[in-house]
Amino acid sequence: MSYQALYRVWRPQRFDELVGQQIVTQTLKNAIITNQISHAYLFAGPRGTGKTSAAKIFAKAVNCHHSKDGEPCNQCDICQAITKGQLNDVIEIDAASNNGVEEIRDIRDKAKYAPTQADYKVYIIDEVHMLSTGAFNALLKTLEEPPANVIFILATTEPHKIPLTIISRVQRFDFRRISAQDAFDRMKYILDQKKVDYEEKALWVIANAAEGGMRDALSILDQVLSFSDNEVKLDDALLVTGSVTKQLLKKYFLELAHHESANALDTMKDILTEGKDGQRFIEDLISFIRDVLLYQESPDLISVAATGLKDEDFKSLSAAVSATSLYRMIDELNDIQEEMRFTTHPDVYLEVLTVKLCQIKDQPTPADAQAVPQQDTTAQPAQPSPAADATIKQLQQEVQQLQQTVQQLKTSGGAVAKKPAQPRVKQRKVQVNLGQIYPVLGAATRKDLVNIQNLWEDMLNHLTVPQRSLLHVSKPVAASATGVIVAFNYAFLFQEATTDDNLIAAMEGAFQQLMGTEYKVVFVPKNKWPQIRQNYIKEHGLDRRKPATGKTTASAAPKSAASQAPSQATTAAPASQPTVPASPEPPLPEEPPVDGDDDGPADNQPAHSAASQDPVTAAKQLFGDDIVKIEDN
Amino acid sequence: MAEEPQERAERLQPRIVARLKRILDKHELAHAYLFVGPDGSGKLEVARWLALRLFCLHPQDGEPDLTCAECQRILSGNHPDIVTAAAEGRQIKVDEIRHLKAEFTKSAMEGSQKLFIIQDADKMTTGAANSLLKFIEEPGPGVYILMLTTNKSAVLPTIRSRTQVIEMQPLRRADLLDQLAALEIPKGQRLVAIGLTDSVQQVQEWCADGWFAQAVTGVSQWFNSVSQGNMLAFVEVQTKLVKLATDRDKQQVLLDLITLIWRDALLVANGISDPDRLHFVNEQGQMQALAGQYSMAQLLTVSQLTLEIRHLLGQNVNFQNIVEQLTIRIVQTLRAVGAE
Amino acid sequence: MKFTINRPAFISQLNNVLRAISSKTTIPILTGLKMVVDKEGIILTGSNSDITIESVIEASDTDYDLTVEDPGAIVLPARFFSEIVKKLPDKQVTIEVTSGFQADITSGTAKFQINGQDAENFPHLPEVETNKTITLPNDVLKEVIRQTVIAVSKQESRPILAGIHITLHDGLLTAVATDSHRLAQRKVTLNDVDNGIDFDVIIPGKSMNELSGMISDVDEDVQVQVTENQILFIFGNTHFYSRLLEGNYPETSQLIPDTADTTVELDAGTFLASIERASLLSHESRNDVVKLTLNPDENLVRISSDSPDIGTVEEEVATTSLDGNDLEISFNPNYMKDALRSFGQTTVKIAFTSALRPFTLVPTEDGENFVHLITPVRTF
Repeated sequence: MSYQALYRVWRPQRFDELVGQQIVTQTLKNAIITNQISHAYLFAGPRGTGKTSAAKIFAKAVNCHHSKDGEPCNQCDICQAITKGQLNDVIEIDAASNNGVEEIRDIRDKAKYAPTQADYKVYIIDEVHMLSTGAFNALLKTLEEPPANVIFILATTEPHKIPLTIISRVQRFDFRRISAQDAFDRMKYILDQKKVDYEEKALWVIANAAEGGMRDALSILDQVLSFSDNEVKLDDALLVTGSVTKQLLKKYFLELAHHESANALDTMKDILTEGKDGQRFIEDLISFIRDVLLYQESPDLISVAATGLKDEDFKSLSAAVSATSLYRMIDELNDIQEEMRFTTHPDVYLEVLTVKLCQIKDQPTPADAQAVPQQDTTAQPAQPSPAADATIKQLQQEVQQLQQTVQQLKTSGGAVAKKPAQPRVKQRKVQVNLGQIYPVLGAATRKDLVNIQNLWEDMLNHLTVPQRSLLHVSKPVAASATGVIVAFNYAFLFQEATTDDNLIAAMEGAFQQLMGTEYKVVFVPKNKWPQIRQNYIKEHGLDRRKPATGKTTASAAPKSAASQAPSQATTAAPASQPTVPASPEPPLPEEPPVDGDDDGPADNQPAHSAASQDPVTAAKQLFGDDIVKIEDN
Repeated sequence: MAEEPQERAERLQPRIVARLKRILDKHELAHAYLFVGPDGSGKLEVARWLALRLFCLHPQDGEPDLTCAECQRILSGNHPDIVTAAAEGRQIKVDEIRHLKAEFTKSAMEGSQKLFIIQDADKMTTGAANSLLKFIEEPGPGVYILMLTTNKSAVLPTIRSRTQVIEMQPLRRADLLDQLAALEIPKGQRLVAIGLTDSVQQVQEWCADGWFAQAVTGVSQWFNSVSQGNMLAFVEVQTKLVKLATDRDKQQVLLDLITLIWRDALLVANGISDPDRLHFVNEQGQMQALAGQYSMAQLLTVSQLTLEIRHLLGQNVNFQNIVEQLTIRIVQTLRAVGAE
Repeated sequence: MKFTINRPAFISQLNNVLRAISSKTTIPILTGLKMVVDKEGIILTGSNSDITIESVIEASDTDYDLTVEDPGAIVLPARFFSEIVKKLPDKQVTIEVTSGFQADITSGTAKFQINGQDAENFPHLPEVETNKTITLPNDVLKEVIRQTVIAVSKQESRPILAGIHITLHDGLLTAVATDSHRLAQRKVTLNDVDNGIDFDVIIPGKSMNELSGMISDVDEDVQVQVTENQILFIFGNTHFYSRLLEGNYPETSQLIPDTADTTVELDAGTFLASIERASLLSHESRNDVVKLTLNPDENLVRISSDSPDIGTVEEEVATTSLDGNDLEISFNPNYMKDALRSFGQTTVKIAFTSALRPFTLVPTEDGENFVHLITPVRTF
């Protein structure tokens, strides 16, 4: 005979044996005693809280001719047949396997047949949330016109997935999570009945690890029993549940509280090498912190015995950290718990988490990623004040280095010798060169753009691999007979490209080869493009004041030789002052709303629509197709 | 590796095999188990050992003899009373476990016991998992179900609560390193590899044609660029990493490497310098420098960014996009120095 | 292993075994066909794990012209092997396993060499124990299957009901099937059965259908043997094994009422024709029910049905006997049709208790041995 799991042997057969659901069971018993039976019930609640057991007990109680005080006798043929799952009139259906419209229609049709043996036909539909929408509709029809002497019991762990139209037609019972106390008591009862020795602490560990599921608790208990010869020991319970001892939790918590990240990481390492379960650890830590929090509020709020710690432990723990920090810790833990659900390598998450929790201080320091730059400037390593000339030097170096790299990539096609001391480059700001853009825009036509789009791939083939990769996230957005405007999805890449003279030269060279005429390439960051275009329309309207050969503008530097870089940088210098807000985007002459298609600055002239029709529509049509996938700020 | 399966199970998970032996001796084998452990931890080996042990005609000292007809057929995958299911694609769908359900309702073909082995139990769709609930809850006598998963929390809680969960013990770092050393995998790669997997076999696969060496170098170079806020890293995504990312598994390895190298950087910044705790030991100097260069908050943010991207492949986001976007966000984070 | 055999005769036995072989299988070796050769003859085996068919070719049977040179065993890929044998040129074919698991197939000038597998890896079948078998006349078994298999459930939700529950106790064989809305039960008293043989098994309806098709081709009696997990039927030179369903079959004996308040006797064929007419309309309505009105005082039995969109039908039914209380009862005409067809041309007695209780149909003669039970539909 094979071994029977405890949860099967000790499955409740009477309402009285259902643990932790007194309100539900009392109501159901009353319904049977007073013969006020509804035709449809919804049993909702987490796994292992007794939904299906209650449904079967209810099926017995309504059909049992010897029921007493609302409880089934469990002796008569009907009761026993239901217990064994042999009664044709009690139909258990798992909605996961039978979730289609056809299956539910079939139930609907078959429900009309009179019961064969019992008084009531009882349909128990388990995991009812798995039904398809169509199936729910079919079920709804049945619930709207319930056949007499038919009872539907819908059971689900996820009631929020059930349509309201269904919920409004059933009597709903919410099964509660089994409290640790109830699970503890039930295990104690079972072990006493089985005459098995146990350590109460072990039962508490199991009760807490079961997370509100009685079946979980009994499965774990089974496992602990299989470990040791018919005795429930604390060590085995910790091993089976993957729980960390309270002492270790306490140590870790205090290290967090004292911001000792290295120590906390050591403790974390010990926990992980012992093979403890990451998820379980997070859960344990959350309930640990919750207990501390409650204790802070009032020591009466928790049962110290159930936590496995002593009163003085709680005193020191709750003194160590403020409530605000505790709340923030719990927030972080909740977040990481969600993320960790999808990983097979929890270690890194736990290490990052450890560092993060150590960072939590009582001062209001927002810990979320966006706020990082504002946080704690003093912690920054000392940097030379980025004065204009320093920036110029850096820029020069970087440009040079990029060029070198590209050169090396061209020749070696592979590994780059790493420069040991790289200058730290910060806040290079490259301006959008309106002087070059406007002429192109002024003469832009849709035809030219289409032409360039067709040539784009060919042009790319003339470039080196790194150059192509830079252009990977760019697109031509407007073109005239003599030039093209290329928009970059990311401001960073725009900067990179604008300062890369080789790139521009290569692109222009390629176009010249392909088209037979001299051709100019200008870059814009994509998020500025709509604004630039619109400003152009507003500023210029009909008159195209700027000549199409945009070489006359002051800041034509980027496309000329590298020696001109300094002048370009000079233009950009003010932007690199530390006083300027650290926006990664290059500043524009006007303050552009990111997607300001409609409302430009009020002092500008209204657009002369007729004149600007051609480039604008062309650009607009194009722009409409471009969906910015990543918000770059 | 011509190692016998039961020896492998024993070597990988000695405590668990010993425990199962004890349970079998007491005739207390439960009807459903969930084996949890990373790749290479020996879940399948233990499951196979248990299959051999249950069916073997002449077990000796609690071990299957591996020579009897039963053992032979199990080893060749032809035993009619051992039913297996595994994810062929990314999921195990309802249709794919239909034969499993059919088998649950039928008698064993030969003896009085049947064993079901469901690999990748976390990959069952909710529908598939739910439709197994009834069978897993109360199978007939002599029916045993073993479910295997690398990720326990992705297994439906209602499934989990019907099983006894057995966590594979983590393999000892030193053991793993020794095994990899025996396979003549260079030290630098060994150290990195054990940060990604416990499976020696997997590392061997990665090392074929020198791929892993290139991957480690590529990610290190990318790291060196990106950690300097250098947009050259962006170029390196295409010139180095994309070329290495030839299939989905390799893409995932590259993403995992990226996570791992930043994890090392974070640990170094927190004063962990014990080389036994780190993987990219060659970059330790650079990491040390970063600690002085950036705030903890910045490094933390970067580490979190690398964690966020790891599951994107599963959502069918293109590898190049993932890493390019990550590069940009890291550079943004690192460049955004207190500019208020 | 080496033998030579008459090709056409061999092919007919191959075809027999191929009925059990499916290309879709989770056990790789089951795509193969097992051959075991010894001095006595050849045993061919094919299986899809649910059913297994063995064909025994006896060396003594001159039809096969069998010469065995070397005994042995092998599993060959079934589909290829049978296609090859069918297309060979000569009247004779020689099959020889040379080295390992490779088979040479020669016929006339053609020679194939195909790879096989170790016969040891094929599923092991229960031993035939002749002292534990019972014998059923061929036509009786066919009738038992025909009469019960109609009530087998086609629903996946209760897999146990997809089988026929067959018990043997004190020489009485009982076969029951129910889909929980109707039930068919057939009893057969076996005379010369050893009282020591009892069994209680659930056989998949699918297997029984397959078996029924195969025993139609022969006229020998069928020997039945139940083992721990399979049931075996032996007829002619064929062994047919089926796996069993596991679980508790519903307790059906209490379902069949032993008293009746209203009874009617009528001709099955005539009544069937009336039901078929009435169902022309009932099928059009969502309910699909036919109403039967019984009025013993006026000696009136009427069936009626209606479809709101199309119209109504009423027909008086001729009876040979009618007793008891007045009753109106509705039921699914398909169930009634299936039941009446299973009776053939005979008089049936239908016994009712109330409008909401299942009613039974039995043949007026031999009413003990066959009963069909139908659950009415509530229409109010």
